[in-house]
Amino acid sequence: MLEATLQHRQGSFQLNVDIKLNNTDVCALFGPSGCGKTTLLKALAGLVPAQGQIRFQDQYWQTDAMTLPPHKRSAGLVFQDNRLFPHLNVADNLAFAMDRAPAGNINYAEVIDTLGVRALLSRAVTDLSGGEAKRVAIARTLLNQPKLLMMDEPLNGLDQHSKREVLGYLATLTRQFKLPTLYVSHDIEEVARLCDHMLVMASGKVTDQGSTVAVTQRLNQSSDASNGTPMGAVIEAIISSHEPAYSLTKLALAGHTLFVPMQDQFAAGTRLRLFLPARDVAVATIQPQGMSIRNSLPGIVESLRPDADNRVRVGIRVADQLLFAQVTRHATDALSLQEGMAVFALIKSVALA
Amino acid sequence: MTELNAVWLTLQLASTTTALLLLVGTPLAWWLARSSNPARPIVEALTAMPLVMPPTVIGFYLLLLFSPNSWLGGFWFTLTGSTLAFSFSGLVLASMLYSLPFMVQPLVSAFTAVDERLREAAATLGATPSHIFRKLVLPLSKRGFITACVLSFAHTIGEFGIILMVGGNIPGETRMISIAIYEQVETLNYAQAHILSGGLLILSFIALCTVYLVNGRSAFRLN
Repeated sequence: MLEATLQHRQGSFQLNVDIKLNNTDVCALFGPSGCGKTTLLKALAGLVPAQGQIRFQDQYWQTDAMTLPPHKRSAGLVFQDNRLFPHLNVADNLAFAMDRAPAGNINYAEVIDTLGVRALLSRAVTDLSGGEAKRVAIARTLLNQPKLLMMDEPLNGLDQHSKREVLGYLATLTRQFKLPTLYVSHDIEEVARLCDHMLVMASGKVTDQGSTVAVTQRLNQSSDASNGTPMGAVIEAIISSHEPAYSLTKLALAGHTLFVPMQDQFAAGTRLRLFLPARDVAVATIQPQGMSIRNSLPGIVESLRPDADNRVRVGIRVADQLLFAQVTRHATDALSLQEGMAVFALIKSVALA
Repeated sequence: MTELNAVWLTLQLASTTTALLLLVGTPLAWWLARSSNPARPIVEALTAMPLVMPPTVIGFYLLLLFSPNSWLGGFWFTLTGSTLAFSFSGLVLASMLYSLPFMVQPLVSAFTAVDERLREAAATLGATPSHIFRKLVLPLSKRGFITACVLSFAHTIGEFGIILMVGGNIPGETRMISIAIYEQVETLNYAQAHILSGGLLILSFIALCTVYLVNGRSAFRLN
């Protein structure tokens, strides 16, 4: 359990947070650039001299009377810019972390295989691609046997291909090592895929926290959704079967069926988190027929909120889950959409967790 | 060659001075590179003073300081039973002062160039400040150390004014190459002067080549 109450002033910027993290949580620190996410991570690691109190498990890292230096905190931090040591090759960078690691149960072979680092061991760190360097940085942090893992926008600055690759490694890693994790990001798809919990930050304060599903629902329902707030819903579904003949996986969602691209790395019965971008959900008032879109879910319109450019965000309740569709105001008027109306949500694409 | 003694003595002075400067200069340079103390610019200026002062002025003040009547000279005399002025030890002290900027300035630039972000990363990986200095800062400042040592060594070999003021011309004790050259020229013994001067010229050239080779290589090799 991590509990921290921290204040820090940096020019006109003021960080003022009170957070709590359970032992097994993979928690996103979510918010726009400059809202204090990185400063919070650095304060937790001891790199920024914030005021306040930090307690991790049975140990105080900081109180009003004392501050534990960074090297005595069992926190691992993966920096946005990796910070691999340029005078050491990959293997020696990893050795630097291992030589200073306390006893722990993170296994060397498991880390370098999970992150695909084995083939890179003899390389100079200056010769690594962005994705490779990121994987080495994550491996180095893990091999230091942290009890709390913090990652600062690990996918930032990577090209689309490396992003997918590293995201895949991260998804495996969070499942495998079961470390309490703080994951800084401003990308809701990443968060939906990796994190069970979310802390939303804005101008140095925590504005909302809770499960990823609940927080994204609230974010979508708050009216000021135009500036960086996620457009779309995070929902949870259970794998019912794989259909290799079509390269599809069949999901059960509140008694309905949803087809997504093949996910055969997960067994039937696994719970998946999906991100449904609002722009990829359409609305129909009658059950559509003869259509290439295979996923249509019946639901009830729960909310209608105006967005920029004469668009409307429609919240659609499907059993216990809430979906969002972004449609034009022209379509809203033509269909006379109103709260309480029975509609069908047509899902064009799904980002998978 | 009659002046072999002077050559040997000069090399001894330069290596002793460089070795001691390395011990004194490293912590001083680290402090200058890191400190936000308001006194830092003053210490920095003091360190750089030998660059702009005429050697005779430094020599004059050192001569006063080395006299057994001053606190330093007196202390040295009670400690060792000999005077600092006109002695090899006195020359080592004088050379250390005179060559200090040549040791400290390359080290300060090297230390400043070590990215603070790397030190932060090392700290989060459990490295204590002394680990960080030894395992990160020292290896990343290797070129700075080579430059500092070569420059201090070469600069000490070439000094004249201070040696003349503080050391005089005692064979086997304070008679360095530069003094020997001066004397050979005074006595119109140009052949000997040529040998010594030419030797110094080549040595200085080699030293500077080393510095530029070491630093130039950084453009091609990052580690």
